[in-house]
Amino acid sequence: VDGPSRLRRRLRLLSSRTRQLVAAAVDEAPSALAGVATVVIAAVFVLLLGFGLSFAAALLL
Amino acid sequence: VLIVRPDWHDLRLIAFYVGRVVFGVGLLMLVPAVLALLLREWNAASSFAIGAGLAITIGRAAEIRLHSRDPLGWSHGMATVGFAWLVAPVLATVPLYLSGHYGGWIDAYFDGMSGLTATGQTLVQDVDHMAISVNVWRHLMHFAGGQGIIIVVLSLLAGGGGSQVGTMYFGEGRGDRIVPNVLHTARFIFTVAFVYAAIGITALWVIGMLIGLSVGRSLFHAVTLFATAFDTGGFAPMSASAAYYHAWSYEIVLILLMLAGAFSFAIHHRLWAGYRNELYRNTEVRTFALVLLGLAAVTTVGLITSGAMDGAETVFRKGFLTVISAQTTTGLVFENPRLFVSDWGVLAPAALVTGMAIGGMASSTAGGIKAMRLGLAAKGLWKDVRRVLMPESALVVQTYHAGRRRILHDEQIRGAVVILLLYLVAFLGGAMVMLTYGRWDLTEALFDSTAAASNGGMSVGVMTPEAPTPMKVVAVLQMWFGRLEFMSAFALIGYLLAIARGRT
Repeated sequence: VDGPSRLRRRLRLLSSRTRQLVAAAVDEAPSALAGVATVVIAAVFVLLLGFGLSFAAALLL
Repeated sequence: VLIVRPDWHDLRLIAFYVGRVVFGVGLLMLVPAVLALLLREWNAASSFAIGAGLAITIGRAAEIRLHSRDPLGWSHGMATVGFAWLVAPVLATVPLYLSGHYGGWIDAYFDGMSGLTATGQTLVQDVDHMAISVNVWRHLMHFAGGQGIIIVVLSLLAGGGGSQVGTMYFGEGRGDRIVPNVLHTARFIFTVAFVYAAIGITALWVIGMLIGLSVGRSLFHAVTLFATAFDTGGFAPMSASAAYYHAWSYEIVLILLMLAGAFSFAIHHRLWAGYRNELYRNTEVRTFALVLLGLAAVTTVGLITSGAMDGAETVFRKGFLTVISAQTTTGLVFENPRLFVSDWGVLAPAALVTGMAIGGMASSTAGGIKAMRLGLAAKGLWKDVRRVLMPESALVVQTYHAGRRRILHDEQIRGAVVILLLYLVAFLGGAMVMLTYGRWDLTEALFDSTAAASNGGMSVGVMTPEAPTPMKVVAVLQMWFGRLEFMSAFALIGYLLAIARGRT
């Protein structure tokens, strides 16, 4: 296979991969958002704990 | 030496796959190249053209001249990853070096390695006036390297099922595949990143505009800071890092992205599949959370007793958020990091060093020893204590939770402890090198050395453009070893030894 046609094949592959990635993202959107929400809630919980800790320490120490 | 000397076929195979990675880096460089053209940054555009041209030419030459259908063995894969992670920054460095913002090629290569390994220490000069496209490239390196350049190349270039490159996936500091097919695993890792990118960039963009940045400027900051926060990098578009923004909301979004980035992709997968209880049952999440809260408590006590801070808001914004930035091995800072050693006493910086050393979760974008290894080592210790306390005939079984309840085997404990020890050697070894120069005290040396080897990226002013060149080289090696979690780096060194002294 010569160079230019290999390059074309690569570009086709690249475009196909990009389309697959976008399609997968769209398909998985609802479950993905639920997963993201879980992580965000956990992270916010950690932040609230941290703020509580800072507040308590500032009062007590 | 009882290692078989690699022959021409082995070396050809490794060079072929390294060439493929280089080609991938060249393709990635086209993104900032196009941006440079759109923004009319002609000098940057020409430097990207040179860098991308070199990388693509080398990659194509390797593809044409070295193409091989030989099977990629375990040792080939590991050595390839080790070598690729040394070569890729060389090409990635070209536009940085040509930008004129670096004191020399070593400084630029330092940033290339720091960018791709998502470390974040930097030797850049006057970053506030750097061309936007070059600054985007620095952060795109964080994104590519944080996700894993092998993952990037796998997703973009590999055909078929990716079985030929499956071993390389493991060499890049990744644990088990999340799903059986390595390409599907790669795709999932990207999907997670893109979903967080869509949410994170939008949030930062809007907040950026609300706090007074222009539309375009805010988008630039949002894109670069998303890459640095989610991929736990540490570069920032401004020299003041996250302290530039003076905005609660901006800092909170950055912290949420850092925490999401420090989560293992396997845990993301479980959560996306609807298994919410994984969040509080998983051994690694528990270890990470316990360490984080423990270090936050230590930092808070340290900051207040040293007199560095008094109000709760200051302690939270300057102390707690910095602990999260350290433990997720991101490295964004919320005030001048020089103050960590000059004003924060000794307890608070010690907590930051410990946080960077332990790091995030395995198979995440974070670096460090990893919470899973610490958790397994602690459970291994507990197993030994129970073995001593229980009757000799008793069968001691220790379990841990990762997706499901699993039995902890002695070889897993050994593996975790060996890597843990190697990280400690890297942290201390780098600090020793710094101390030989006699310019810095132990806290400063340990801080910057740990930041390099853990890919944490904070710096209290040791790693600057004025630092001695051997120290920069050592830091580059620390970042390389740390990002690869040692094994593929050792595999490459073993390969080189075998070439020199192996048996035919």
